[in-house]
Amino acid sequence: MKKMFALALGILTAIGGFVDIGDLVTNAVVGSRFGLSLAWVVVLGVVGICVFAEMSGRVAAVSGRATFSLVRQRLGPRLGFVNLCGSVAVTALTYIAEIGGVALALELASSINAYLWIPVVGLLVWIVLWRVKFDIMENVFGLAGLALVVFGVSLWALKPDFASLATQALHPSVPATEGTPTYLYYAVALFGAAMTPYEVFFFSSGGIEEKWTAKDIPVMRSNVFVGFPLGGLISLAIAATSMLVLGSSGIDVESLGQVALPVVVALGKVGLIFALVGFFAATFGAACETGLSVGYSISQYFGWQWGKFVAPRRAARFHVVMLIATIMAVGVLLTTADPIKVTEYSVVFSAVALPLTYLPILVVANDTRYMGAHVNGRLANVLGSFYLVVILIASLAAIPLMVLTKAGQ
Amino acid sequence: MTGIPRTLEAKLQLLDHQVIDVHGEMVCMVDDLELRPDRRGHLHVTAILTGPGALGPRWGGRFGSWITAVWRRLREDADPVPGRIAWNVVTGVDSGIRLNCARADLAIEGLETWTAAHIVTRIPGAGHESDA
Amino acid sequence: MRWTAPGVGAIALALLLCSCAAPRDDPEAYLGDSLSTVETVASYVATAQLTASAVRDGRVFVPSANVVLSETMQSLSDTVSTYGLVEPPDERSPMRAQVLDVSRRAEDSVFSTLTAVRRGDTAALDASIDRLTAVDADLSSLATRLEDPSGRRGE
Repeated sequence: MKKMFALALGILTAIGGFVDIGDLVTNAVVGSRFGLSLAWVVVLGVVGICVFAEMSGRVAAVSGRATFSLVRQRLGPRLGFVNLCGSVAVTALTYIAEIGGVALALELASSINAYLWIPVVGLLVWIVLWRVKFDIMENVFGLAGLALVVFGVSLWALKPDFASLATQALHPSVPATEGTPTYLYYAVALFGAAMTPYEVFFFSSGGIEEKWTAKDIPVMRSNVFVGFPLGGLISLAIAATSMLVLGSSGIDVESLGQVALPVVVALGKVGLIFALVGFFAATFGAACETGLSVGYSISQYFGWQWGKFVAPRRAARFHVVMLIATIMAVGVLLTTADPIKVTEYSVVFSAVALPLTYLPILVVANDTRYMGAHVNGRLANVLGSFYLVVILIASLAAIPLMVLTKAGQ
Repeated sequence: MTGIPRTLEAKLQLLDHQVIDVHGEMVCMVDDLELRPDRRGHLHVTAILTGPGALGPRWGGRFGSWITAVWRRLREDADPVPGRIAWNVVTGVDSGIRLNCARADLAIEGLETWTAAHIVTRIPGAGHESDA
Repeated sequence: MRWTAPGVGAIALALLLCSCAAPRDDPEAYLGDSLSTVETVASYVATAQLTASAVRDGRVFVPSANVVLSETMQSLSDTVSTYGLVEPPDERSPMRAQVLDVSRRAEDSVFSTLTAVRRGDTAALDASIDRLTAVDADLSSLATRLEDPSGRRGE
């Protein structure tokens, strides 16, 4: 009974924790402009994150080493450092976007200006990083994030023609109003939003925080293979409702308020409450995860003690790194940077940085010296190699497409 | 615990591996190794070297020498040596290097001690594991 | 000639102003600007329409609607003033005046919606919803007219 409960809890938090500000904004933007013609990218990204999260979780459970420790072992100090700089820059950018997202969610609920919320949010996130137990943080924000299921309910309440939605999703084509480069640019952005590198740092380091061993691998797998795809369905529901309500009225999504409008139209105030709670939980949870990921990556590269399982006094450098990252994120946002714009760039740069994370994981997961009996099977390797090619293409295409389309205009 | 094999491939099994103390806490990375030849000319690992003083030279290039120079400038002694963990405290080598002593006894954690004393312990709650 | 600080500053300012108010020599590019401005303005008007009808039907909390409408108002003004800074290649062309006229009416109607929502004035809200609907129709007919003569579709 207790085991079943733990299993269900893990899956539910994986669903609720899947969506972050990048998924919210990108799916709504894409839904309003491209309908479901990019749904295949969400599916591709969700399968990809499942493949690599499972691999990194397995490596962490078997070897007791998290991603960045292995990145340095494999790439050596120089290349490892270049990788660290790239990954931390992207994760920090995502951290900024998530904190901004929390502030926007609070603004939407209170009508108090987001820039007044930003320092408050920074402080709250930091308090969670400093004091709150790892599993409580994961469970509370993961479960509250389930409120975003309201987008699925809205989709159902809008009574669309599901057959034509399915046709559109299964036969993707570039809409007449958009150019092919713009379509491809948003394909890369959506892929980056689904496969954000921090999720892998966080997932593998979280496994060590929760003291996984090889015995925990089946539970970890069920969380990944059931939870993440269901989380991906929330992403698709956001895109579909955005298409039905906003796209049909010619609205281009530029703010978090617009992301919530389909829920308002479909379900009214009750729906809006769920959407607001979901926005807050999803962005706040992701802010904690990205903040921790910055600390995890840097500490793991240098071999410093890290983690919430020891007192901050015993992981002083780790906590100082997170404190600096939080102050920096708040500082950047207070220059009146638009959090939505930051989010849009963060998902594209995530796509650029993907190979930095995924290549070393694939290499280590194939190493019998570490993995013993838990080394990659044939299926994991076929999928892993396939995704490596996709990731390389997305990474190389991201910047040229950004320049070509003036960031998707 | 796997114990220590008599011969190790330094690059694959030691360098850039995590060092873990007797309580399971993380100590440092193996940034470099101290090697001594015996009478027959075979090289033996005599110590793990760590910190910017060891990592800088391994990085190499302008960036590496810059790191080393900054590290030297920040040290009080005229001819500083990098953090050193004698090989005789090592008890095992697997996915990490295991020691038979605690990290506090090693006197290699300059930055950790400084940040703990000047920043972290000044914030309330620094002495407790995370709880709700 | 000596470069004095005020002199350099004046030149820099002049360059900056030129770059802001650069005339579009290319009529096709100007048409593209006009079309995308009309489409963007229409997107904001539609956002305001959805939000205002949700307020009227009691389907949204006023603080949230207020945030959406304020943001829409802000972005709308930015779009219109950016378009106003571009000089048309052909002074006689009525395009600029048409676009600016309907855009300013869009600004007015979104603003009156925002005010009505803030005051909780139901009658004024109904009136502004009607105004938004009228502007929306004008925007789409203007977009059709802009597209039609050349028979092309603008980006």
